Amino acid sequence: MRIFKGLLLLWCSFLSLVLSAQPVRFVLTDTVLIDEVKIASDYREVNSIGATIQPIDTVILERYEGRSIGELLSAGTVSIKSYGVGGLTTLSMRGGGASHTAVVWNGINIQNPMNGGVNLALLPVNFFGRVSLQRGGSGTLYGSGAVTGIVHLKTKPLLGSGAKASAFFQYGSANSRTLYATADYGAPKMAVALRLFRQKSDNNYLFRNSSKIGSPLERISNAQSEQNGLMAEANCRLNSNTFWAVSGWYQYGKKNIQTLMSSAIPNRSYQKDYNFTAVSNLKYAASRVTFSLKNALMSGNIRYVDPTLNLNTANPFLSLINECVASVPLGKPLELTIASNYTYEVGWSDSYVENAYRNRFAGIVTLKGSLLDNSLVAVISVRDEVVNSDFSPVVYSVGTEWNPVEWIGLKGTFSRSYRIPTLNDLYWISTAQAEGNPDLIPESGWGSDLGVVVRGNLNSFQWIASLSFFHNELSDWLVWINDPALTGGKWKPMNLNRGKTNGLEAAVKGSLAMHSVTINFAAEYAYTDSRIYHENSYSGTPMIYVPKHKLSSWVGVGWNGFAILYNHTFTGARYRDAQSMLPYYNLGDLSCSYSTKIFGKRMDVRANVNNIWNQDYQMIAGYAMPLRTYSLSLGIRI
Amino acid sequence: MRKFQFLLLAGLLLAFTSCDKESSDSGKYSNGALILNEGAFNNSNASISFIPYDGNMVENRVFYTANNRDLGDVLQDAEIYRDKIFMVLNNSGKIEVADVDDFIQITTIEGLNKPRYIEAVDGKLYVSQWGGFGESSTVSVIDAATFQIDKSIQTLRQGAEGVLYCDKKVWVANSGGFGMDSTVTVIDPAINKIVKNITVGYNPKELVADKNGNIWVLCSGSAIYDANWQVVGHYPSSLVRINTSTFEVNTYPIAAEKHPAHLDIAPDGTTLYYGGGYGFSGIFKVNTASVQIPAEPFVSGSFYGFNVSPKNGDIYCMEAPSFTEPGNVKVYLSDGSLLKTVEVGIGPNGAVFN
Repeated sequence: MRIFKGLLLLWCSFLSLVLSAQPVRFVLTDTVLIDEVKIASDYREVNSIGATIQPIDTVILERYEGRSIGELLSAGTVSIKSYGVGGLTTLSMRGGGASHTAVVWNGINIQNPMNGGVNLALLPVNFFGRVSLQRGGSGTLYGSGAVTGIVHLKTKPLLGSGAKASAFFQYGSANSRTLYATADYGAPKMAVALRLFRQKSDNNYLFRNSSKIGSPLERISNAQSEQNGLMAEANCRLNSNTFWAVSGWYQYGKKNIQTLMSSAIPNRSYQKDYNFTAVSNLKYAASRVTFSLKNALMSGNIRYVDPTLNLNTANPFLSLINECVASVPLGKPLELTIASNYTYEVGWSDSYVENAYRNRFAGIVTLKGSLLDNSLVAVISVRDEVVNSDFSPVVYSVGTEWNPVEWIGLKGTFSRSYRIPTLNDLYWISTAQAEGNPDLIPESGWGSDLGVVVRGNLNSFQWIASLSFFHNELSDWLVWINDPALTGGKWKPMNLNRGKTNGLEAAVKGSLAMHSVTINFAAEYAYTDSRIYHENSYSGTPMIYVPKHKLSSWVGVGWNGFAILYNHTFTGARYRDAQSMLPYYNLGDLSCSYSTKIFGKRMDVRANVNNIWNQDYQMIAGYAMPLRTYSLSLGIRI
Repeated sequence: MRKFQFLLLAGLLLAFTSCDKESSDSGKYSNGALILNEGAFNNSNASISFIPYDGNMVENRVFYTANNRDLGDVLQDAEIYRDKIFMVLNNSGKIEVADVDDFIQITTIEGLNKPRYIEAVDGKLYVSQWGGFGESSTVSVIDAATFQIDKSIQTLRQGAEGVLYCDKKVWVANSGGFGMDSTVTVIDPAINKIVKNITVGYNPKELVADKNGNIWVLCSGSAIYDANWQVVGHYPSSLVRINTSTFEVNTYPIAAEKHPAHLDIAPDGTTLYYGGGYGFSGIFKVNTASVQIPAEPFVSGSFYGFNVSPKNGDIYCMEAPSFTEPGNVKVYLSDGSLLKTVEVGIGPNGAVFN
């Protein structure tokens, strides 16, 4: 019954995919713009007071065009796990697991309801104009799954005037080709945009195979990938108080599963991911209250095929999300927001029982206020959710930000979070080998952080530095286990583990402008001490694939349209299973670019060298990553 | 003078015997059990743990310590032969060869298709392989000195598992693989051809030879699934004795709906143990002279696998609570009492004894 064990273990270790955005700004005139910002901002973002939200610098975002969000974030200080080149990529922040980080697009959490995760390899950087990392959970505002962090994805704002188009083409090592094209049309009351993404790669990069005698140089085998993505957006100003934004996003990916380094036979399995997400946001600003209505549809299918085991599984799901929000100012410093959410989730799989669906109702109340001449802002939120008539734990959070003087800010949060079990955990069919557990309760935990931000301005040198300390705990952590005493000899998910994480995050960023030269730099460090506790076996053992130390830094110099950017990351040693570790590694990437205008149209050329020091490393043990690679890109805007 | 000569002779003899002892048993990993840890599927973290016979110590990740590289994915079986250990990595399609006393690597044998079990036969090694879905099982013959694959014999059966050399023939249990099988294939190693297929019970997995030269096969049976993976019935388990000259078969039914996966025999050549495997509780003891399937297990517990030490009959029982946590080995004396419990690697499934 290796097949079954294999299938099950694959699902346990595949925490992947799905996708979600913010209502875009419709730029008309200055006066309208101010109203727009108020109307267009999501209540969640506005009420995330005290949270550490860090936008990825545009310089870095542009450098990673043609690549995935997973690759973009692995150049920072969050812990990224990737099953080889272009393989399943998940994120862990502040010691959480892959299903503890929400990924939010247009206000919806795009974690897959079947396995609770998001495959960051299937999110092209090109689609998003702004990517931010929110460290620490926010169960009250973002609901289930936002336990240790959130990735915010925002698409580029629609331009209101005239018609615009752009094309981006990249070619690189291992025959990697990427095409990204956009077309925008903006009129005073309506704007539409269309974005197309296509990518293909042989992914047969050179690597040093340290799993074989003599550590020979080999080529990665069976890792080819292909992606197609299409995004369409429309914004409409229905009248002076009403604004409507609708987006649709289709993403397809085919990925051959890379052969393990220690294997003597090439792998033949592959996976196809299909995802379609559509979101509609309607906002109405009355004189004393602002209403918003959100309706979203999330659907997807993961097909996994292994011809050697005769495995061919299809795992489709559908999720319908509906939310209405009302925000009321109560006297000058206070604002009250009440929201309610109804979500329907259903999954179909050969491995599921029939009727694997659930109805979720959630209610949220948030109160935000400011004191001391607006220099102190605080927010308190409460949320509860009912899933198929089971109450999730009530979660509440408190956040404050205080800016006593202009150059220093202090912030702190305390929040409770939760994560409901996935459809896999609940509805897996009962066989001789495994079964789902409909009696599972949600995981619940709390997190707290305290931070300080200092900024300075010295002539043409600007800098900002921040430091935060955090602690979080999670109990009833779900784990699939086959312990005869507990599960009667079958693989079954149980609420067994507990996790505790302590850490700190430090960052410094600066920019200097001299004559026509600009220099930008940043350095970040994250220390994460994350441990798992389990009644029967673990006692505070370190979590796997969470490095204690991660350091990331970059320096960019620009002059007259030319720019050079070097970024460097250091990833500390981390456990790859309960008993052994992967060693630390350093990675350096260099990028040179030139921006100019040809016939009045903007053109950008960029040459990249990735892994310039030719470091041999793996993010997941046994799945080789490439040695030094190169790419060249060309972008045109008309 | 006589006394002196005697002492001199004794002294010389002692010196010589000490030398002999040095050359064969002086390795770091001699005089102990080598536990085979499968690791987690697709994780490339199979490993070997060394438990010396004396004391309560254990050394984990022995292959990695000696060679600074991963062993491979899913260590299924191993054979110690002529001072070398041949380790079969089921999901890596290879056999890793190392010196058994210090585990320094010698070579890697590739070109195998889902290899399972290995048996030494007169300077050759016979390796059973399932092949992929829809393919026939194969038995490959590997030269133990040159490490080359001499021949691959297609058995046209499913799920080739345990391999045994007895009465100048090679016996291979066909456990069904992706389908169903109830046969044991008999190969003549002199010509490397199949001489017979013997029908035994359902899903035969492992074989041992007793002191009378009879072969015992553990037929695990299996659950029957419908198209929705629901269990709708069972093929029963049984113990089958094969007469190696007449090929006559005697069947002793074990259970209608329980499926023990492993079989081993004590050094006395007459005490059989069966048990272990997914969902099967306990290890049971029977005597080859009068097979009576007992109601109660000899050793209680849920074990992923077990093996009996040919040195002293101790029973090494492997517990694998999950494939992410380390497993345990519980060593029982032949009287059923627990000698020691040791934490080993991930997914321990068996042991070989050095």
